[in-house]
Amino acid sequence: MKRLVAVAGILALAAGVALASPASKSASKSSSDKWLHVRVEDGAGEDAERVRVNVPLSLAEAVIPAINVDNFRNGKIRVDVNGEDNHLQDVDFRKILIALRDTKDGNFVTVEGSRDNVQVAKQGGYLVAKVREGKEGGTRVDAKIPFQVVEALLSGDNNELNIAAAVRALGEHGDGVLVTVDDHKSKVRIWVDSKNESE
Amino acid sequence: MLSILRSERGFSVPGGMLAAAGVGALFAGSYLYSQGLIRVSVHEKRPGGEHIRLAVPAAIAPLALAFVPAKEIGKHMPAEARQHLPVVEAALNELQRLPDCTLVQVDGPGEHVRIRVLDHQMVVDVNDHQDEVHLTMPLGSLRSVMAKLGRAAEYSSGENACDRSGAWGHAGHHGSGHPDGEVL
Repeated sequence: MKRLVAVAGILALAAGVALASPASKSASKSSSDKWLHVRVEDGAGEDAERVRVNVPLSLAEAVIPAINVDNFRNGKIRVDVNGEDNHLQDVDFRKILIALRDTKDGNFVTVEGSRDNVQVAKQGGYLVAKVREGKEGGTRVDAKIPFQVVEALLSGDNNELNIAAAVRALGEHGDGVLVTVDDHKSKVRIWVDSKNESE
Repeated sequence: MLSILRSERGFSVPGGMLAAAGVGALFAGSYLYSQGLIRVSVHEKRPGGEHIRLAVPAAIAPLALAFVPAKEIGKHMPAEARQHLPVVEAALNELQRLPDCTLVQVDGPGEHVRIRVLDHQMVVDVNDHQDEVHLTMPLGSLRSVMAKLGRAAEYSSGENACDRSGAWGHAGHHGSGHPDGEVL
């Protein structure tokens, strides 16, 4: 009988230890292991402010369809073409996109002003936009968005931006820098990779 | 009289009950430990400011909620809270799958904010000129709380109550039956 009690005690202890152990870390990996990173550096020296945001695209994919606020519903933003933005009413973005996708690489728009330069181009499956403000030390904006993402963004109705589809497309695309903004005061960098911490 | 409390093989009934209570306490303690602790620490930096420290077993939160009728919670639930419940629930499901990581980090002059996932816990650290706040929440225990709040949301009488199809309607797993009297 004493042996039986001892065995029961050991079993109880073992069960207790098993219950007390931390939750299993072998959680299933999400469909997309990509992370969207945003890094903002504002100012310099001791007064500088640094913001780092690391968001797994799987989290964005899960959360975005659940957002139902104002014009943002079911992962899509409805653009009010009959309201203040009515100048967009007659623009068929999808047709423009298809036309852009089917054309060869090259510059679509080049504006060379006395102060600012703007360039929009298609390069190797990316929609590339470059803005240079001022001569030297001015703001520099570089955006390089995969065409699949732009296509997914415009995959809803004509007056909708399909954010959920765009995020999904971003997850299926390779790593890369999406947007950089650089001026004499601040720097912004938005990129996608498989690391869960920013560099 | 004592012979009633003592078995023939030398084990007394009170002794057995004590052993059973000990094993029960061991199981309960192990369970509470496995669910983690909700830790809150608030330190006001002004002279004479408060310093509040709170550590509550995370398992207690759903247990305590189980005794509050969903209808009562729903009655007092703001429409905005009900509207954002699906977002929080969706985020929670994904956050539980994440490895240890820093989601948000803000470092400025006299201001530091860090939101991270550590050992399946959401850890929030805020340190600025006025306060120092640390918050730790085990993500696992929040799921049952969210499920309860989801059921309570069906009773919410907020302005957007008719908007259930959009805000909470997708959450079919919360059950379509009347949740009154349900416990976790």
